[in-house]
Amino acid sequence: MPKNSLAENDLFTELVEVFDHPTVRREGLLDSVTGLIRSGLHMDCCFIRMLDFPDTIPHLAGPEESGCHEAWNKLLADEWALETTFSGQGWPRDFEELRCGNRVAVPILLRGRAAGLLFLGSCTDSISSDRLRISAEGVAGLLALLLRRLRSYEYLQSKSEAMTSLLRVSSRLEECRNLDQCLSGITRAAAELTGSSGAVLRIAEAGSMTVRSLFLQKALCPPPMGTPNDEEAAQRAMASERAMIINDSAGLRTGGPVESNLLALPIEWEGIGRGVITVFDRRSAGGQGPLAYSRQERESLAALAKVGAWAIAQMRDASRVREISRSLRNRIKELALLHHITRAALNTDDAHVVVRSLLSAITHREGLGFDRALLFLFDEDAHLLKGSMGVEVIGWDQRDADKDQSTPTDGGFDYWVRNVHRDLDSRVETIEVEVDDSGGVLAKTVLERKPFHVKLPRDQEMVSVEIIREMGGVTAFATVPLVGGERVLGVIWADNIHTLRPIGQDDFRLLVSAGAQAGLTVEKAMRTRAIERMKGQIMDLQSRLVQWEKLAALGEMAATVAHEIRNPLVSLGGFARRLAKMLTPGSTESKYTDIIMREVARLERTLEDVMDYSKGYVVADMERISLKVLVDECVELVRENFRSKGVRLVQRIEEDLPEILVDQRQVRQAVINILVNSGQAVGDGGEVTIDVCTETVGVDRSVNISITDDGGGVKPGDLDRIFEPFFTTKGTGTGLGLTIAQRAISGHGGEIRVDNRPGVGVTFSVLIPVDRQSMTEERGSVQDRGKA
Amino acid sequence: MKTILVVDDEESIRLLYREELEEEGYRVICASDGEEALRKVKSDSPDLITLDIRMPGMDGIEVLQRIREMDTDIPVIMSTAYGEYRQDFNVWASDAYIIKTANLDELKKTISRLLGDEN
Repeated sequence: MPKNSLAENDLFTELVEVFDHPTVRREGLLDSVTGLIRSGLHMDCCFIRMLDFPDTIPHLAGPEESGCHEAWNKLLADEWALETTFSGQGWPRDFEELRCGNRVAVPILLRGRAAGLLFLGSCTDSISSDRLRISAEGVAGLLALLLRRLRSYEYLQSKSEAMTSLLRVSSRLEECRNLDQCLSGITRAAAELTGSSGAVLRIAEAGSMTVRSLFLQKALCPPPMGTPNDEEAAQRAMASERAMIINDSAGLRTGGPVESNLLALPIEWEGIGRGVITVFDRRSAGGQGPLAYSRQERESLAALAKVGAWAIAQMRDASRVREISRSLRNRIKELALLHHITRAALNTDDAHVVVRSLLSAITHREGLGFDRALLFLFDEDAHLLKGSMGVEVIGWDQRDADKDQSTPTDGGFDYWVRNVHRDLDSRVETIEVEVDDSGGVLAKTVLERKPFHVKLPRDQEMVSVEIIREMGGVTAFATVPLVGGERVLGVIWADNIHTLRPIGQDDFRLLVSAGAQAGLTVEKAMRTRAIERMKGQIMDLQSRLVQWEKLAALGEMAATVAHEIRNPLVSLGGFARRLAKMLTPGSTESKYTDIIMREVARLERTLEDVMDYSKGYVVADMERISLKVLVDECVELVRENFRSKGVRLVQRIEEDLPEILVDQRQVRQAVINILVNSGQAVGDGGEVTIDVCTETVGVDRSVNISITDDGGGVKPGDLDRIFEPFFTTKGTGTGLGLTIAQRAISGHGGEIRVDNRPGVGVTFSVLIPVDRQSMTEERGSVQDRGKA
Repeated sequence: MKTILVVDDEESIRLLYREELEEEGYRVICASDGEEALRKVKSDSPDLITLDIRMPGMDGIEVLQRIREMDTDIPVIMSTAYGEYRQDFNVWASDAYIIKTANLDELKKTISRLLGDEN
């Protein structure tokens, strides 16, 4: 037995070195430490027993027969016994049984509590027992320090590993685009972090647990998920709100196919709800197992749950941002669309224009970008939807070809509407769909006032073969009711017939909102029109009222006025004529009297008009007269008037004209009034043509006196009013000429037709029936001979 | 020489008619109201009367009725400023109805026709 032992200091240095070794691991650590201590202190026997270390083989030295081995083995055999030895002061009670001479056992104290035991024994008496104890206590103290340091190191090590993997996991989760992806990432990480063969995420929904995500290492088949074992553990964890570790799954299992350990951790994630994440079948890196789950796995899993919650919140934020930006984008689209529609609505009160603008916006790239949009108008009485108009984006090929010259989108909306759209009206107008309960999607859109998004073949039963054929074999489309006020005005149909681009939820939603807006706009347009029309009617009525008042006043005053005016006129004109007779023709005085006579004649004519009009028309003196004579007289009467105005008069009068029975004064007046009116319309250098012929339509024969001018025609807005009393565009005149003419001719059962050619001229055709003369006679005889 | 009675309340019209008709070779007497007219019908037995309708006092229509009641066949031409009376039943008793105008050609033609002149 060597007397010179290593100095205790050397032993200490060696021990520190062992613990400080960069690759220090628990496995085998105590073995080497025990060996060092035994040899360093020249002991025959040394062993260390730690509660949280793998079992160590006692390092024994000395003769077998010393009895040491046996005793130690006996002591070690019963862990329970060992533990009891640490109760109290920690001295094994049965050391006396050990036959070794010198021996000592000291506790290894960590934080004041015995965490292990160092035993030293020497079979010789060369070392005093006091000296032995001092050495043992010194070594135990150092070991305690080193072990504490090791524990801290290990703790930090494991934390850092856990952090690293969590970081890895979280960065992986961060990239998830949606919740499902995120959840499956979490389950996968759960399995990986805990070294498990699989992981299941269950969420509590309406009283039961639903599997939201499952991850399995490939090797594991069939999956244990869903077995009563796994489910029961999850439910228990959920109920107790505590993590549950089952390392003896046999105790729980009720017939599942896989025998494995389990760790179930309750979770609560905002936005997902409460649930349980379960990992099972823990194995070593080499695949050995099953291994038991411990606090460490539980902590890893809990940390992962926190990362998961964070990731879900992140993702929700991100998706909220995405959602907001998407809805902003859509809102902008919507606004652009509405802008187009509203602009159209502002510029016109024509509902058709508004709707066409809507259809254009639906197909515009900056709008909804559909390939095609159609409008069906609803005929309530006929229960029919009738194709009304359609807009289509010119096919892609064509559009691409166009691009070489100019990009269609460059020119903005108007350019687009003008050049890239194609009207489908003529094709659409042939389509008619009955609105009944047969369940066709177009009918349903009207009856249920609901939009529909139809995808074939999914919605096969909603559409008829015919409509699909009529629409060119389209397989997906959307229909939106156009509701104005209380009524369904029609249905808008949109599809992507060319590009076959699927109709997304956003497209559909925008279409619905555009349809609703258009409905309002159309309704507004319709109301505006109705109001305008009503306003027009009221104004019309008002002006008519004014006219009637004028008339009434005129009628009352007519007699007096006529008397007061006509008599002086007769004198004026009469004496002027007398004067003229005394004067030398061509003299200045003669010219003056001519002017007086002409002006008096004009005044008399005006008076005549007013008188005629105010007394109302009655056919009075019916006479049979040659049409030709009558027309010649008229022409003669206006000839001077025309000549003085520089108007050329062309006559095309048929030779063989019949006699007619008329109040010739009235008819002459009518023809003259029209002639004079035309003469005024053409002015200097113009031309007025009078055609007279007979016309036969069926059994009815009429004479037709047509007076055509080249005066540029009547403004279309004025056309309806030219026969209205007091309507005049000339500024001079009574505005009664044409009124009187029309009344005179209709009094003869005839009519005056107007053929207005804006920019060219007007033709007035005076038609008087020849064979209804007896009727006219009757009419003449029942005339009102009323008040004077 | 045929005598024509011109009945009119307007002096200038009477003067115009007188001068124009005298020029045509008629003898012209005038009355400015209904009473005077009736007196002159009796006293002068004119061959033709032109009768204004609207006059102060007795109007032309009443004058016409009185003349007809006298059981005479004197032609009467209603010569008036307005056409409404054309439809008056009472006016039918007259022989012609003329609206006054500065151009007396129609009046002269009518007179000539009614008096059965050759020219």
